[in-house]
Amino acid sequence: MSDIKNILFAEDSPQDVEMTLAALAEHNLANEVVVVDDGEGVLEYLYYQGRFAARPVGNPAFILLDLKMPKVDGLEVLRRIKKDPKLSSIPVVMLTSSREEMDLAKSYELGANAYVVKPIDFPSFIDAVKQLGIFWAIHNQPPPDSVRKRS
Amino acid sequence: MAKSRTRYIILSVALATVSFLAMVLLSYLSIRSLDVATQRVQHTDLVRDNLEEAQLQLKDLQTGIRGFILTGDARFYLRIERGAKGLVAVLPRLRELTVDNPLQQGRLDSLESDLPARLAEFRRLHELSAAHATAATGAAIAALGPHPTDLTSRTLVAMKSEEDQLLAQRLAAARTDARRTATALALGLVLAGIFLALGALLVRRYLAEHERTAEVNRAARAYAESIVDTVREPLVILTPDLRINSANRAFHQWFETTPAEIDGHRLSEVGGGPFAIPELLHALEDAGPSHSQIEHFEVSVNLPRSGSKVLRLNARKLHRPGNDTIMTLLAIEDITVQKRIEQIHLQFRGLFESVPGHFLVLRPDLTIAAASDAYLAATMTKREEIVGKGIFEVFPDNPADPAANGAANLRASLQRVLQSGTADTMAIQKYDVRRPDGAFEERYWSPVNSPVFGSDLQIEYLIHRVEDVTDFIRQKQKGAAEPTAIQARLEAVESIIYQRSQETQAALNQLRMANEELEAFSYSVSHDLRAPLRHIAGFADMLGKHATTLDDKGKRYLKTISEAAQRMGHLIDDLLTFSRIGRVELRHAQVDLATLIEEVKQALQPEMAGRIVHWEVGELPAVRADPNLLRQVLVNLLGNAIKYTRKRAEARIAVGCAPSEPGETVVFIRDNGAGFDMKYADKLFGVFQRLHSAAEFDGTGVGLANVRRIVVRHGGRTWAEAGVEEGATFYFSLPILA
Repeated sequence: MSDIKNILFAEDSPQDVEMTLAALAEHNLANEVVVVDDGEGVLEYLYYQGRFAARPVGNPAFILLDLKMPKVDGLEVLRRIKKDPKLSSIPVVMLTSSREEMDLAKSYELGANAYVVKPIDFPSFIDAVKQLGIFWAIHNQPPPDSVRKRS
Repeated sequence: MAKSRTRYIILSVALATVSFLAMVLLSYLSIRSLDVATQRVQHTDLVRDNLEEAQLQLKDLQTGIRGFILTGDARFYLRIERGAKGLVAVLPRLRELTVDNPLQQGRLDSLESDLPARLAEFRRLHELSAAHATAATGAAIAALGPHPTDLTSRTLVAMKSEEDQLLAQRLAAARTDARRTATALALGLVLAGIFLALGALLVRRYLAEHERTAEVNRAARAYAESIVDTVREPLVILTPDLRINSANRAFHQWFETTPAEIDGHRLSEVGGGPFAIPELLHALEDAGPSHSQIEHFEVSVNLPRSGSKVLRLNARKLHRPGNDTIMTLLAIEDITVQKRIEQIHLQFRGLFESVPGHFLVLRPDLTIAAASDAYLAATMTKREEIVGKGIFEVFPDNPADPAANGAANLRASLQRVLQSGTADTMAIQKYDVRRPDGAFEERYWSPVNSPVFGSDLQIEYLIHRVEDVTDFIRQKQKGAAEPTAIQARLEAVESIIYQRSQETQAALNQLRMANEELEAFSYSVSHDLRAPLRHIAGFADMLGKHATTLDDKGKRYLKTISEAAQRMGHLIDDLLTFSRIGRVELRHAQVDLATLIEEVKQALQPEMAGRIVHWEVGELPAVRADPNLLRQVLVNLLGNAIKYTRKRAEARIAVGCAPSEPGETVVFIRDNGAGFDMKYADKLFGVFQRLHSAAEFDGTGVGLANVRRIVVRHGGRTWAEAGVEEGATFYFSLPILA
């Protein structure tokens, strides 16, 4: 296990997952990407519950969060993360296919760190994902308490 | 205060008493000591008397001796004997008297021892001379001469002077004692006087204060009595066994009694027995010992002067401080008039409630104050269930009827009445009535709301009068009614108006629902429709990278797939924008057109890369518009101008103000581009309408539709002039707003 932190990626569309992973892989990001397909999965991961009960301790480097997801949607997950003092410092990037102003305003109101409209044109999508990965995983200085302890 | 004063009084009297006692004691002691002194003086006097007697005897003796010696006469000798006898007789007395004085005793000792010897010698000589009777003997006796008595004489003188001295001393002592006694007595008197005076002063003050307090008490009592007497309501104070302790003037006036007649009598016997009511007497007895009281006990009486009266009795227990008896204060109030008004009120209320029309009386806050029986029957409600409640709480709209607007219309009408102060006649309303079982019954009403003003000229009540026109409306709906009279025709018109308003309401509701559906649809399109497109484009691209053996044809297919997907994405985006423009709220602000155009030119810079574009921007005013939407208009129009001049070596684009009607601003954008055929001008601003092929000029055909939508929403117009390959001029107008 490296001490490079994970990227948590919540997306219910397998195609989008595959495309995004391809984009991240193309950039050779060292971070391990943990993919969950709904909001519940994000919360389970963050709170060490369910299938993530035994995962190693530590917050992800950042969270890529799709807005529209089954069970618990992206806005709700964002609200819960930003309300919890232990999690609120994790950068959250909202990913969505919509440019609806309501969603945008709501996301920023809830404390999203970035909001990316998934472009249809794949190269620019790759570009957006790449930039996000670089920005949050490499350039962004994580808060000191989020550094994972070595076991 | 009074207590400490009493203590001072007691103290001063005690001090005076002590002073007196001390004075008495002192006097006693002084008198006793004076007595002793006086006795001593008397004693000394006595001693001196005896001494003087002794001296007298001695003198006799000496005279006898001298005479005898000179004459030898026997008579002198007798005198000597007599003197000697007297002297001897007095000496024991002296001894007795001076027993406490050793010095005098010593002197007496010497006298007693000396004198008899001398006398014996003298007697011997005398006997001798008697025998011889010679001069010589006489001479010899003479030689003895004074000798036998000289010593005695001297001793007696010494004793006398001693006693004189003692007398002087004792007199002085007695005088001192007397003076001291007098001083002590005077001092004691003065002290006792001072204390007594102090006591008297304090007693005087105490009495004065007591008098003052008593005066205040008398005044307070008189004041209280005068108040009780001037109270117009009869008041009577009862002893625990319900006898009259006292009654005020009003009581006596009412019941024509005097204090002498009733004081001490039982309450039940007073004034012809109006109070002889067992319940009242029991209650009063209870009000005494237990701490309860009587409130609002009503009695009908026949008074001697004022006839039939309704009295209200209130009783309170009175606990007097310093007095263990508990009195009861009974206050009597005449409520005859009040009762009568209540009766009249009830009568009028009854009258109002039984009026045949449907009336509801509302307070200005729209709570129900009263309702007529007919109204209650028509609305299937009970008075006690609705009075005091809000009208809309009691009469809600039928929730099963989506078009129900009776409550809203009634509220509006009532508000109009409250604001204008004039009656408001409403159109016929469908306002369903809720049955007691909760289900609603279809009802039509013709309501009139009118204000009722209070004495302060403010609206005090609203009267809501309705006629139930359900049957009429139903007939109308069946087409069975045959209006003949004007009234009937009016009602018909009202009915039509009602139906039209219902239709309008229905249309509005449909529109609202359609709009909501559109909203949901747009949202769904933007999310769900874009996702598969993104996947098509994305996977086509990934396939292109993955497939190493793909030939040119295969690559072209993939490229086509990607481009088609992208194009569809743009179409969707544009369509969403178009629909959003129709829905967003306009936010008007002052916009400087010149600045905005400069900004848009900057934003379009990438489109002009590698081209020569000449800009001519004329004078432009500031306008009132939604800045974001106006920017979109200019992005579209300037973007089109740039796009359609692409084939020109030098593009020329002019922006400026065109002549216009008063009250509006007209902006034009002219280019020297491809232009269009004016016969298609009417298609120009339609959605997805394109006058050029995608291959010639790309685009989705939504841009100009957006321009028209935005301008129209601002209250303006759009139009264009052009010729094929002659360039085009686009115009839009904006109304000049304040």
